[in-house]
Amino acid sequence: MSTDVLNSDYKYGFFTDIETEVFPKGLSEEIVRMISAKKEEPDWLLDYRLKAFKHWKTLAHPKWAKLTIPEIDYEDLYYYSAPKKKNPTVGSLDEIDPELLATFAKLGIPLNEQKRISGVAVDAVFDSVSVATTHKADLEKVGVIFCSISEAVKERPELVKKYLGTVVPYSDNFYAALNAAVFSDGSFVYIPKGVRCPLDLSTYFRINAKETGQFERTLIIAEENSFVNYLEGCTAPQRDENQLHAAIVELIAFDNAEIKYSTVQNWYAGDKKGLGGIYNFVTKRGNCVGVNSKISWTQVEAGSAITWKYPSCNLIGDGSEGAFYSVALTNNFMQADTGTKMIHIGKNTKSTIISKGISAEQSENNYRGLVKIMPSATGARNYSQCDSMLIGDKAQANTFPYIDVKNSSAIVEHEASTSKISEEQLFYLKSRGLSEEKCISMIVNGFCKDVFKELPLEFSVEAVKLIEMKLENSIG
Amino acid sequence: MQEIIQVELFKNSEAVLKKAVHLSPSYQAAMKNAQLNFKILGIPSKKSEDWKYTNIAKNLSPRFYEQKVSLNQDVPKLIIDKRGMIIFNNGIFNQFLSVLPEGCELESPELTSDFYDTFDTLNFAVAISPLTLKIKKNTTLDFPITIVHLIDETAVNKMVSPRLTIKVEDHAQVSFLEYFTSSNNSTLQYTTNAVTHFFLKQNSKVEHVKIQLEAQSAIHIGLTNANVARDASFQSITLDFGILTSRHNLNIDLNDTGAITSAHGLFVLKKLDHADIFSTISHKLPQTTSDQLFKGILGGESHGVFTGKILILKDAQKSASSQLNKNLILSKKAHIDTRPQLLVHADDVKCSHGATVGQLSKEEEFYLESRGISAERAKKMLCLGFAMDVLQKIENSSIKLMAEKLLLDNFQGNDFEI
Repeated sequence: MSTDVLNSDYKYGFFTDIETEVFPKGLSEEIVRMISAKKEEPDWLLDYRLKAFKHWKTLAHPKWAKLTIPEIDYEDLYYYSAPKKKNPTVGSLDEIDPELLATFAKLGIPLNEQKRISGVAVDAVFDSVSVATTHKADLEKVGVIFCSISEAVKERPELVKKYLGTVVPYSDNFYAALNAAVFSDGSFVYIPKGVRCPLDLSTYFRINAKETGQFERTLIIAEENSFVNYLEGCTAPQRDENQLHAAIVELIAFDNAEIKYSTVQNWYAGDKKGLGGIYNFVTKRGNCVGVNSKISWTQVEAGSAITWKYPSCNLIGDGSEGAFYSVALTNNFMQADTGTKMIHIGKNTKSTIISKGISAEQSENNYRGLVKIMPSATGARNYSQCDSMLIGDKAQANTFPYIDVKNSSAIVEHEASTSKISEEQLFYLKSRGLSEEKCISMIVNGFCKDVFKELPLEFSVEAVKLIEMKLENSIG
Repeated sequence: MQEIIQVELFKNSEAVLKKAVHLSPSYQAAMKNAQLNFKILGIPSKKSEDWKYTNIAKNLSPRFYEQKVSLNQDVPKLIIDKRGMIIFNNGIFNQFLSVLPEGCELESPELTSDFYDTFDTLNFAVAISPLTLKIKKNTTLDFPITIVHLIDETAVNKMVSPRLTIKVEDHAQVSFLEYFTSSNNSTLQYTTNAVTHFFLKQNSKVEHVKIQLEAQSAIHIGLTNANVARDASFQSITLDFGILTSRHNLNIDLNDTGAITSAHGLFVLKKLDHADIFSTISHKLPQTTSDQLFKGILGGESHGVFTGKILILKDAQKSASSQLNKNLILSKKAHIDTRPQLLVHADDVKCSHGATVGQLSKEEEFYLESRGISAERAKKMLCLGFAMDVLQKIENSSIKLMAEKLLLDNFQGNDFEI
């Protein structure tokens, strides 16, 4: 069923040969209409897509990031690709194509509920569509809605209509406009008032088809006094050409609500010569609307040929809190321009930024972050720490913090450092009988500890392994 | 605005060159070239990443071509030692008043086609009185050389373009105090576009203290550029006491092993002042060191900007660099943008930067007040202490004394509202 790629240190690089339904290549109003029709969407959503498409056509590719992005031919991409359903109305997991189930099992994401040990509900997105969502029944009991966004459009249109595009409007940036026009699927989460979500929710994104772009959209709404822990993982097959992934994630937290959003991003990053890999251009933003609401972004960025990603928080409610914990690892010819934006609007808002960048070989790792204190944000507080570690003398690590303070009562602190693994540290560990590779992985782990400890346990273990695997053989 | 400046320049490029007939033909040709270059570069807008927070085109005085030669006869007040003084009136070198100490001599003006930015290009294109000073080998001066830029009423609505190149030969050691001031009237409207280039040869040591004391309604654009050779040391201190708009570009290239630089700065802003410090330090070869401390005190509705770029190039292994930017916001409407940036392309280096924005600590104020000091005075004391950190870095004691006096005067002035 799947063709394994030999001699690969990217173990998710296989491709599933599955019958798919694809739309013709290229981007036009017709394609936008086709996607909308395929999903049997209401008129307001089609209008939204068309408006976004119209706006996108007026935009030029942004140039401010410190990235070298080869020109992308938006006409040479498939904007919709979905595995063909054997039965058009999939009701339960039993009716899903077994090959798909096997693919996810191979990725370590069993969709079969009975076999699951840990209490995590999963929404699996394969190319342009969500193929399965587990544990739905358990969640419905407490009123939590967890489904694909297409399903939500059909079943809870009032919620989607009310919140879609309120955090990231289609006019926000080039990729946001593109995504708003052609987004095909994604996850939708609604946590009602006073509910602490009993399970961790998780979405798993898989790009499989060739020459397709993946444009998913996630919307999470946490009502008053609710809590949710949300995890996201991504992989793609190993290919010589680059593929585009432009997602939008919108989070909304009301009074006293808390959303924890964790990502382990491991898209295919290209080979040793820098050939192939995913272009990961993502807009993620959360609005802390309510009083004392909290949003935290934790990310481990270990894949993608090019990453352009700034998970941000608009701290609107008084006393709201935003946090950003990030480990970004680049090797070979990878490029990353990632960071966060913390916009303090409400009184006594707080934000914390911890960013750890590791760049090895010929890669380029940039931190770019904005802390903005608006005149209304009396008593705002920010602490940022950005550390970079360089492995090998051809790698680059750059830090570009932007601090704009418009309120005299704010306290903002930023610290950054760049270093390499010191000879003393290495010698100390080696003298205790550890191999050089093991030493380095231990030191790197220690370097990333502040971020890893913010991850849910399962992800934390995966993240440590991922970093170790990535750094193998890259020690020079 | 940009178009006006360009039109003005091209209508009058001949007039500028006519005033430059005393310069060599090759220099005049280079000026003409720079004029053409400037046409391509233009005046940067806020869309440019480097000028994101300063709208420089807004109040520029475009009429740079009418450079009147009105040389002042009186020695300016703030001269540290009359044995060494270089005086510019409205951007024109005043050879009658200037005194060069032993070991220093003038050379024919430095020709270049390599410019830092559009304002450096513009300066070269129109500066009709470029000056190149050489400090000879092994010269050690025990008093500082004062460089005075005096701007008077005849400069109103014009652009003043002094250009100074200082070459410091092997093993020479010298301190400079360079300050910009306007005669009496604080409502003069004009633009200064000043360039000071330093070339430091092996083992030389230079301290450069720049103080901006111009008319309240003036615009100051200044470039301090330094090329630092093997084992040479360059210390730069920039003090700005606030005007309508000021922009200090600081560009230091550590070109060889063992080169050291420290770059510090302070701005004290009030009312509608705007100050922008843009510092770039490039470490090009191994074992180069840099150290930076920049502080800002912002009152009234002032706006301060700090950008600090540290660039460690591939070959600059074992380099060390640190940078700290601290800002004190005293009033509700003051506003600061700070961008400390690290660009590291070598692995065996130690770099750190930090930035803070805060206000006076309530505990410290209370401590002083509980000892019978008035609230206003307590605030001033704390601000002064905050600012003194930067002045302490000045090595030459007579320059330090003068800087301290200027700072105190600034704090004593009634317009420093908290």
